[in-house]
Amino acid sequence: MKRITLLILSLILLAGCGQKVVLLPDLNGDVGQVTVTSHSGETVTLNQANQTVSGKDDVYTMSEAEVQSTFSEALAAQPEPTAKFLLYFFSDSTKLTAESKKILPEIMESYRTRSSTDVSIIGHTDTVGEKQYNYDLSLRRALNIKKKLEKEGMPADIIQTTSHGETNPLIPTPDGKREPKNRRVEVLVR
Amino acid sequence: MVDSTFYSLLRIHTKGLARLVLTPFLALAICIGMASVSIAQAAEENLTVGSVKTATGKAHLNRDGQLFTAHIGDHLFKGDRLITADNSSLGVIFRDDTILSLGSRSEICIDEFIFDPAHDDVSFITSVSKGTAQFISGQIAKVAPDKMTVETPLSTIGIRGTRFLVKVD
Repeated sequence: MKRITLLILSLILLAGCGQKVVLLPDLNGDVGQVTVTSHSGETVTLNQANQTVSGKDDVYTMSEAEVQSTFSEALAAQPEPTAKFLLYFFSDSTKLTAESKKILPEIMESYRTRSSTDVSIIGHTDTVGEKQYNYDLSLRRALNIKKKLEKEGMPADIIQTTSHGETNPLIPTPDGKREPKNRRVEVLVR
Repeated sequence: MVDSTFYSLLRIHTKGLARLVLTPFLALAICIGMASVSIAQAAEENLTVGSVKTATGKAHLNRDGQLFTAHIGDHLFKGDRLITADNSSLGVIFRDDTILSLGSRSEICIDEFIFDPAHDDVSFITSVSKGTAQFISGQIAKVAPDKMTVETPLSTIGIRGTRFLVKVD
């Protein structure tokens, strides 16, 4: 009898300090991977949809029903992902291409519908020219877009601008290569 | 060596009349020292790491021991604790585009957040002490998967992408 009481008590205790980690398919449908390493050193790798580790190492596939009953609030509270926009420029210039000019109203629309208070503007160049020159050029590109968005009514204090110069190309190229797709500014509206 | 010389000078000078002359200078020096430390801290702390995007019920931020109601649009800083009560939820987006949302009776601390990809400097640690949460990892886990971890009382979660749920009882 004593033994049974002890067993029940320990089961309650175990349930009380329980933990579950569930891998869900990404928003685009791909299945990623997470590792769950307990402080005592055991690692479980999850790489299947709804694969779950309960406690340290009890692995099973969680049903949709259990996902919903356990996590519906957290799932419902998920914000819309960041809206991303790419604007392209003429060579060695802060002048936007005609197509990219048309995207500015979309950016403002996104800022308004999301009630965003956090917008990033990130300037880039292709690899033609000196590294330092390109850093300055991509900064000028970013600041030019910032000025345009402020003129449309976006508050200056929610915008952060950064410059990556030629170091973060969209399309990797050798040095000195003209590449219109790399002459860009990314605008991220959160 | 410098310190001991300083203190022996101090002992000599704080005797008698010299104390009256030295004390204001010492106080000024200490004030300047403290001011420069607090300015440096402020600059460090003022880096926005993300913003609140959804909030229902009683959703709070605990910042430096003070509890604030979380409002949509509020900026988040390193060290903030996200806290929800019964029938409440909270959703945020970080500067690296990581999405995090919490269900009821949950608590998560933003232990570390550095996102400076132009200088290859990134780091992101959060800890879930209780409740339920969904994570959808962003740029940091993409460019440097070993630089983003989620801690729980039982484990460390490493992220190779992207979407997972955590429940801590």
